Amino acid sequence: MIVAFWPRRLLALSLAAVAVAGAVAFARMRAAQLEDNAFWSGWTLLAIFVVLAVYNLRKRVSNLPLGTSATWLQWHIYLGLIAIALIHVHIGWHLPSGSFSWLLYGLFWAVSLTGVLGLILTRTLPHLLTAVGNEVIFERIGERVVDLHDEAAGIVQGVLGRPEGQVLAGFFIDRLDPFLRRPRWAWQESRERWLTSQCANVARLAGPDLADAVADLEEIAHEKLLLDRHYFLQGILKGWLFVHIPLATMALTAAVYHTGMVLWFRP
Amino acid sequence: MARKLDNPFSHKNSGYERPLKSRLRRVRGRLALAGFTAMVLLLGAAYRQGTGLVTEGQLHSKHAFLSKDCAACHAAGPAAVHGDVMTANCMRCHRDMNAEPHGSLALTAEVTTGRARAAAPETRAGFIAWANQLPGGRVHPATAAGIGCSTCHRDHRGQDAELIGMTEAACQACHRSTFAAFDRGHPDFADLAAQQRRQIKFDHASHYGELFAKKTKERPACTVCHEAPTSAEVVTPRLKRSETICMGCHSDAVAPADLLLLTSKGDEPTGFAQVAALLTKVVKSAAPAPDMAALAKPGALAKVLGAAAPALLADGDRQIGDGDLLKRLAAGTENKADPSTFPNGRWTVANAENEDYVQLTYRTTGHRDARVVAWLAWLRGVDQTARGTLAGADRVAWTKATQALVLDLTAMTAPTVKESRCGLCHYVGVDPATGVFADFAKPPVDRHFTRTYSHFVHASQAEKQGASIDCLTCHAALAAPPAAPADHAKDPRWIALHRERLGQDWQTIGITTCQSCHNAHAVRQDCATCHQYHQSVSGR
Repeated sequence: MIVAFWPRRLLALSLAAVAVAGAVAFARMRAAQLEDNAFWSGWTLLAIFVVLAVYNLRKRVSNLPLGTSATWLQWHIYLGLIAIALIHVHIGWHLPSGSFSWLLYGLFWAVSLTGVLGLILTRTLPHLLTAVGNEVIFERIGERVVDLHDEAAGIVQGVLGRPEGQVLAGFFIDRLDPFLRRPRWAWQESRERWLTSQCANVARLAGPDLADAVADLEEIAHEKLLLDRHYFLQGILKGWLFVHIPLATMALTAAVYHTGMVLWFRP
Repeated sequence: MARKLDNPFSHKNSGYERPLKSRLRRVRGRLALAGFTAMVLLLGAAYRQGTGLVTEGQLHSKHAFLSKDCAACHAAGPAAVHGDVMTANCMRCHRDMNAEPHGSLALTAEVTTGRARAAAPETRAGFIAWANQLPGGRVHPATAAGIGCSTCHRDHRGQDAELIGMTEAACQACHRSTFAAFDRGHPDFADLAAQQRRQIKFDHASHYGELFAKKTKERPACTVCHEAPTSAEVVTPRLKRSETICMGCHSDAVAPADLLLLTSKGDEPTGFAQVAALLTKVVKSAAPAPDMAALAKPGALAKVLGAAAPALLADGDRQIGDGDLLKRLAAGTENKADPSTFPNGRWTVANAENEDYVQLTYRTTGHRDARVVAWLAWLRGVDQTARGTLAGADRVAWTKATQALVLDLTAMTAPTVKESRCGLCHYVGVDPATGVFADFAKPPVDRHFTRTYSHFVHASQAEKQGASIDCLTCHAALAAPPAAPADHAKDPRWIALHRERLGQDWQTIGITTCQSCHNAHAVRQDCATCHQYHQSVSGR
């Protein structure tokens, strides 16, 4: 049965809210009986941490029938949200005290916030990429830019025998080659205007005989500009994990250490 | 000038990475490994150096000196060895604090009713059973079994975190559904105060309203007998010394009196003389040990008394068995010769030459005679021992005998006198159910009910509010004698102890007086305002 997007999200959110409310009510009931809440909530949190961490491993073994990645992602998101509430049940709705407690708490929030940030990015950037157009696979952007560079170099080499060819060669060496050599994602609009004006200038100096060559170079430059935009946006989409995952590893390590300490020095 | 184009056209130095999928994952994996390694190194180094980084939350400032010694409080090791180790560790320092729930299982029983004393729950299981039979009492066994110091006092929450405060929710973990708040359904104090034994059976109404008034022509101030409370006082203002207050009228009741210990002619001696006779026989037949079976007359009573003889012979009485002693006592030389042997009252012997008819008399020093008090204490100990072994007719006979003994001791005259002079003011007697009681000392204040009350603070607060209060504002005299509480109507010990109080006394402060300030809209009213969970082992 296919459930529509928003009802599905609402259902999942509702279930997560019910889980949190249940945990809070359970903790209050136990507190009213002078029962400790740290242990059950701690073990639950550790289990959630492990499940959240396994998601990263799950993506590496996509050939195993462990459910779709999308399903895992949904569990990852909602378990993460539940963990944010549960950790406060765990620490009794107080701010932590002591260096290690703050370290663990800070790592938890860093992981949570980067996770939420990643969630927002993965929900918004694809729309921007669609607006950019010209669908490109991130891993192939570099190759395509090299091809564009080689193509531009070929165009310039092709006109070197002509009297105005030196003008085009100078333009390539001084302007176009540095532009094509590395990603240029900052100030895209001003760079676009810069490219247009540069190409207009070189077209005027090169004369009508090389107008076609100049037009080809301008087209290459603009395509590279689009590729840079893809490179930037897709880089962010993939790059936030470079922050999220190491932080998650550190948090999980600290949590395991915390568990060991508590078990060893149990009241 | 021709430009060199070869190198610029090459793309070997491209700024673009060629990030294949596997490479991305490899980098992420390395970063994760780096994060793990960094944490391990960080925590490992911190642990080795013993820095505060590895501690689980900051300790309260009072416990800061323990911050690097986890094992000082926690049981380090596998979970199997934990249990109550931490509470035991707490008590290593907090020795004067009772760790049991309320800390009052023994103390409260001592200072409250006979009913509570009889039901004194000295174990957790006993506490649970006892609490569960109270109205509204529902103590969850798991909760009660698991109560340790850390159940309520959670440390590792910062050096300034609340460590000793108690919430109403914590109290109501056990005390459930009895009432909503102090100003909504709290039991009246009268029921609680009626269970408290006082030091003496003092009748305020007759003394204050009639006797004093006859003597002084006007009602005296409360401070004639009670010291004015200070900021350090708790509930009960101290009573001035009885010698300066009570003896003004009651000096005759505590004057030196003769206590006939032994009459050995004719019929079997009775009362305390019986004890003394038995003990004399014990002593005379000593070396080797007396044959207790031969002393088994009358029945089990003699056995118990015989077994207790050495205790009675303690102190100066050990020379009772000396045949010459009686003669010396008769000649009146013994008391003069060695006052240290008989530091208390005076001993006299009648007809010492004839051992078939001899009377041994002890003349008390008057009020607070140490020997009489010691004998009562001894008798109480013997009584407790005997009650553990006697049953049926023996127990009844024992009770009658001890009643006679106590009467003899406290009447301080011949056994024909049937009124206890000590018992005029003190709680001395024999309860058929629980035995001999002789409570001369001021009972310890049950701090469970009186945590922080201060007359001084309350009076000064009232003054700040523009109100003028004096003793009578709260402690009104009773217009009519109160009836015995229904649940004590069939409790002979309670009636014996509180017989006089049932007639006339001061009215216990009404709860509405307190509720006028301690309510949801004014002064705090949580349980810990007045009640104290812990009591010190010393009862202070």
